[in-house]
Amino acid sequence: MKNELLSVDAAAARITSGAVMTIAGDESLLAQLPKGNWIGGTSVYFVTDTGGAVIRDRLYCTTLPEAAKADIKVLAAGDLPRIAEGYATGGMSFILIPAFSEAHSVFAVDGPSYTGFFNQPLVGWISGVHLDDIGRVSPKVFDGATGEAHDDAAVVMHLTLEDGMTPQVEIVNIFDQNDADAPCFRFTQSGFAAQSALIDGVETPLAAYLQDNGIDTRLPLIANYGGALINVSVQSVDPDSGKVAFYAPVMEGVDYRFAKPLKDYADAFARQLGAGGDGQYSCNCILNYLYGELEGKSTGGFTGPVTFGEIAYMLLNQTLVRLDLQPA
Amino acid sequence: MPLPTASAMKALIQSDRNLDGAKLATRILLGRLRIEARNNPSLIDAKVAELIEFARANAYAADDLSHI
Repeated sequence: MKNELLSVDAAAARITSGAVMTIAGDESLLAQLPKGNWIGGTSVYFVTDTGGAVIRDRLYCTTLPEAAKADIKVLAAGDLPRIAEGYATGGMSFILIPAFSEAHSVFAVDGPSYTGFFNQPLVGWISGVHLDDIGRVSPKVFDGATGEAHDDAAVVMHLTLEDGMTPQVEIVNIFDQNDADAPCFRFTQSGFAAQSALIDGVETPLAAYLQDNGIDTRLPLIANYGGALINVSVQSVDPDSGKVAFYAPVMEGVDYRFAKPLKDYADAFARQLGAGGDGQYSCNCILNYLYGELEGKSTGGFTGPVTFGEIAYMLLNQTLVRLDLQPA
Repeated sequence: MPLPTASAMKALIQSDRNLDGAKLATRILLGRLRIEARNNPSLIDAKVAELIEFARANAYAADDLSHI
């Protein structure tokens, strides 16, 4: 696996050579690429070797010589439950979904319940736009096989891997769940918004609680899935309507606690990631970029797009997802 | 890799034990099964069956669960 920032011409040449690729970049650049074995998603934020940056003149390209075959599918929200039907034996799949689309919300809530969903590594991200363009420009994903852009469907690339190649997917969460005596939040409905929560078992208006208790909503709510810490980030708190919106769904019946505060975001990433990252695929969250003020700050060797949500099987927030392909 | 018994799988789903050394898919799936079983205890046998099916389909998961 090779990660590079390439010009449109260089990326086009790579595609034309028959390479299997995932590509992130500005919509106007992705739209210029030729048809081939690639999928793409819009993003202008990246983590590079020298730190976070807004890049509009090059494309972040991951070339996958480990892939023997690529099968690209466009899946609208109603097609997503059949995602596992495209899994190749011993392979893995990349998925890109446009932010704010029905496919985004449906995948986030229902994905982990799809038949056969966990039977193969599934990695990807939610495409976005420059923050100044939210509401004016829709995030897109690209099906390289046709060259078509979509703002209402996921694009999935199912890979058959060369013999012996084994994918390893992991999430890097720089946050720790608060201690067991910290308030526990449980929700009675799954969704991207909530008016109330059971806080330590007592139904409580959520927006008022967060405000009255001075909760730092830059910190995510964290749930423990069998030892995997899964974040849900707060998008907004509306004291008038009482509505609290999230960047990923809170799930019914799950115990969440807010994260412990961090002293230094960039340092926390660098310490958790350590050395390495070369030849691995990774994506990081726009909220880490913003709250951690990562622009110009290096977080170690893991480079890639900064996204509106990360996918390692399920939708994640404020997390780095990494994928390594190695001989077994 | 021999799978644990159904009763051991059931005990795992009904516990809060972390599978820190397990693959990410195993941990997340176990987390989801725990949530669903806790929200509706009558589903526990179906969730045990789902975990067994997952382990049969994925050798790494069978290995993860063989250590419980």
